Amino acid sequence: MFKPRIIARLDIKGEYLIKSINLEGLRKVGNPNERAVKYFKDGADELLFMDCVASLYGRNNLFDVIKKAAENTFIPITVGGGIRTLEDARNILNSGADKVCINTAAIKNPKIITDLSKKFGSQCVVVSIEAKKKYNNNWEVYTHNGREHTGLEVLEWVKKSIKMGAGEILLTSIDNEGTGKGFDLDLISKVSKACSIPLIVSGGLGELNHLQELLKKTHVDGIAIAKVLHYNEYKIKDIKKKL
Amino acid sequence: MKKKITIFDYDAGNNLSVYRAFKACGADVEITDNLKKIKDSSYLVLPGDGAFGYAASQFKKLEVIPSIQNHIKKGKPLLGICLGMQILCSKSEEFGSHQGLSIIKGKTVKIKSNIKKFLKVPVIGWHQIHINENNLLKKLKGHNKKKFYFLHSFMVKPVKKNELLGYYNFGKEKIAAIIGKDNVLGFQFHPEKSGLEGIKLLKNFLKF
Repeated sequence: MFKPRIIARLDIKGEYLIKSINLEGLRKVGNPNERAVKYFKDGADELLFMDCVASLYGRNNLFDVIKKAAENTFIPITVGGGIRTLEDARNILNSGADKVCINTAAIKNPKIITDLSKKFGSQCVVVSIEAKKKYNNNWEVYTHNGREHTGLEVLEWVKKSIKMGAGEILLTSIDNEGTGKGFDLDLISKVSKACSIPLIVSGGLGELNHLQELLKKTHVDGIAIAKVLHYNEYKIKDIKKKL
Repeated sequence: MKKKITIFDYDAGNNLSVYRAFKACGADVEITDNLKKIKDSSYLVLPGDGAFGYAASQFKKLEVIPSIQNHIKKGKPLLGICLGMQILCSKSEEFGSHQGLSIIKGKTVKIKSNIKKFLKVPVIGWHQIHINENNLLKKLKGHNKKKFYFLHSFMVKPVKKNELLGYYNFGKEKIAAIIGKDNVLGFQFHPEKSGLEGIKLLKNFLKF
């Protein structure tokens, strides 16, 4: 039976692991490498590192952080935040990542999705989409951790990303992120029907029965989890039992 | 004595991860594009995380192909991972048609998706592999039916049946997971990213 991948999501600021609510109000929760190793040992299928403020300040000091954070973990790693060029991507991959995650750069210049997938293969290119509800059944794409709106409609952007060569979509619900109130099922259901490539969803898991709801009503390929892991509310094995 | 592993750096591999995984196996590891070092290597590894066309052009540009052929001729073990396995084959149709190393006869073709059955491409995730009975793989027998991590859009179709050593099921399709002949081995999955089972597998490769 198909089971979605359980992905431990580690948002990073400087050298710290942090956690936000609605992608804002960042709080330090620990050391990224210690947590990465713990989640690897606990049975995570993948790790996702997001440099929260990189795109905000236009800097790229993520390479050393990733090199350290990825040490002694032997599962796939996706890294996002501030990747703007093919060279950035190359450096991130050389630092121990297997996939790169892009958001702002792709919105500014969608062709970078094509360029990345031609050079590194589409399996390597994850397009991260931060979605915020506008009105009934309509979500808008945001960048810069939900600070900047783009005027793009989420479903249109999913389709365009796939057309440009994306290999995977990471869909984060800004409204539900860090709240523990459950997934945005309407959003996920709408996107999953249109998503011909693997879809990872993020944002809202607070109780284990949120998972069953998600799996019953939608099809997702991966679930990126931060809060309940970072605050030791649930263990990965408890989560996997519910799949 | 510590085993010596040489990882060929052709600017399209996840070199650091492969390096760290072999280190965890207790081996001496070096990442290099130096032809002399590649020629003198005892275990040669071609990693891979990229597009076929670019990789093939890099192999040509770095003039490494004679060194690899020489390595194989001497009977020393060679391992290709993911794209590094695909490049062992004759040709690929990823973004145009490209020539591979033709060490194993076969071509690399795009995997067909079936959205209704949620068979999505790229294939990203863990799959149980099935290892065919083969002398070459006696040392890997213990890994039969274990799960490994796959990350690919293209699959290898070996011409000779006995060079397809293991597969995984993708709907009705059997996708090549391990190919090989003599001292040459290719893994479509990423052992360096397949947790402790992957490390165990690499340790077993070092017994070749």
